[in-house]
Amino acid sequence: MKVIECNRLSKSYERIRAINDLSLSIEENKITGLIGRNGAGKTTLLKIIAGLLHKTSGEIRVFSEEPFNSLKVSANIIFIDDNLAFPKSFCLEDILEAAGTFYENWDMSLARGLLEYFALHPKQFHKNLSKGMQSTFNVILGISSRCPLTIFDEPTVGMDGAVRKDFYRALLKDYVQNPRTIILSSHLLNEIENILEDILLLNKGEKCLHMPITDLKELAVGLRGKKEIVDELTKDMETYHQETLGKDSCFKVVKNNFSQIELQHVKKAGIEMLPVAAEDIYIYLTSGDKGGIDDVFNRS
Amino acid sequence: MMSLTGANLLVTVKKQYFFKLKAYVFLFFNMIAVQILGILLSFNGVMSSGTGNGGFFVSVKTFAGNLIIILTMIWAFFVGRSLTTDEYRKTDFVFVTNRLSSNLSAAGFALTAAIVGGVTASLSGVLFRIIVYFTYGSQNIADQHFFVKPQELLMSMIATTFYIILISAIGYFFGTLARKHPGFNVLLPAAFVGLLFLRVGNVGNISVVLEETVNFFIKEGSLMLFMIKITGVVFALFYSSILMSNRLEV
Repeated sequence: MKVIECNRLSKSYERIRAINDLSLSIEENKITGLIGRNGAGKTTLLKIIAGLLHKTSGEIRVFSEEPFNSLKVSANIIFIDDNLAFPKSFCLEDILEAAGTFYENWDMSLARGLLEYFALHPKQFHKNLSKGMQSTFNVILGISSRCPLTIFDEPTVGMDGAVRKDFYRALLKDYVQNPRTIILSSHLLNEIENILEDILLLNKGEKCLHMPITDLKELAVGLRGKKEIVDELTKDMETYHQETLGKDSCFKVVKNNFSQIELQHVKKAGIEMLPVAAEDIYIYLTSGDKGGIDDVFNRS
Repeated sequence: MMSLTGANLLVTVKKQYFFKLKAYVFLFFNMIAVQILGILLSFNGVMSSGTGNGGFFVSVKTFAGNLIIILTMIWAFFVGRSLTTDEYRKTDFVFVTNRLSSNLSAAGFALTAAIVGGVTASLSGVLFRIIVYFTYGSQNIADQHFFVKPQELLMSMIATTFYIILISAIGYFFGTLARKHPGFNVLLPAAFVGLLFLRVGNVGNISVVLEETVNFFIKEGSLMLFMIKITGVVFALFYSSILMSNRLEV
């Protein structure tokens, strides 16, 4: 079953187009990483899915319903970001109890256990917590609600390294015990790639790619060696990135669809073949046509 | 697969209503403070006069409990208004909600607050009389309206409560208007102050319209009709607030 389906979805703010003609579908019980640079439209997409924002045009279906103003969608979704508003008069425990009255699958003992593990006192007030601790509390809320669709929008803002690791581990463990659809957005791919099944890469409001993370890791290959030889070998190939190294060497990242014969050619020509990390592919795919930050300084 | 949860509007509204009662209970403490302030200020009396003749000196001091009710009305307006602000509304969207259920539960809370405000404001009037009775002594009280019959008290309680419900509905309506068009945040207080001056000057047609509007409520002789009028207007105010905010983004 498809949990989310978008068809030519667009969203504009005043003059800016945040989401442009996006079509995609997300299957149930998968952990999908929504990756993109700042301003790629990640938050906008997630807020439309959660029914917080309107679409401008196109179609969106969550659990086969239009999410905006749908109680059914709201009852089965929790949307966690660093901007959640809680009543000023509620301590952490009160918030957890309130969540328990609203969410049917809520697991109070898990919530209390996590609260204790992360050294959050139940009688503290949310606004008095540090940024990282607020984020920690928010993800506890997200995990314990066990919603069929759980959305984390940049959940680790302000968390220290150890807490981040614990969070990803807790999320994975609970997901294994209670499979559900989880979307995790981030601009740091290397941090979450180990827990993801699928990756959805957004760039400037458009879908850049949507595939299993294992495929992404094998999508590209890096070639290093004499520039003219590398250029000759890859002349008809899709190039993601290239840079010059020293006087006449270069490093080029191309799509990995070499045949066996071509691979032998490459080896014979003395060209090094290097695997490319998912994070690097993501950066190459989203860096645009500008020459990079160096160009800004080399202009004069 | 994890089974989907069904959601029923009434059940959700009920949950949100109790959530709001618990979360915003401090608004009731504010009300108590406002009413105590009202009682203290009322001690000053609304009118004071004195005459002396030969060896006599008579001093008359007039007290009224109106101030307590007026202050409670201001509080009710503030309650209605704040329920529509981002801070209060965004909280609903952390949990299960849609715009209709959020509005209905807020309206339920506003009504509850207004009823509690109306009843306590009337009782504060009684408390104020008791305090006056004991501080000035029964022999010095010269007004047959000082002692209220239970039916009169009940009538005034109902009337006061309905006024306060109306005021909180107006607060809610203005708050929604201001959320839809932030310009109203400036425009509405300006219009209010402007109308005050108009009333003093008593010129132009607007002041006539305003008088008529006010008279529509306060000149109503029958309690029943008065209640029906207010209920209709309150319903219209909440209904239009719901319509206005039903397409708003969070």
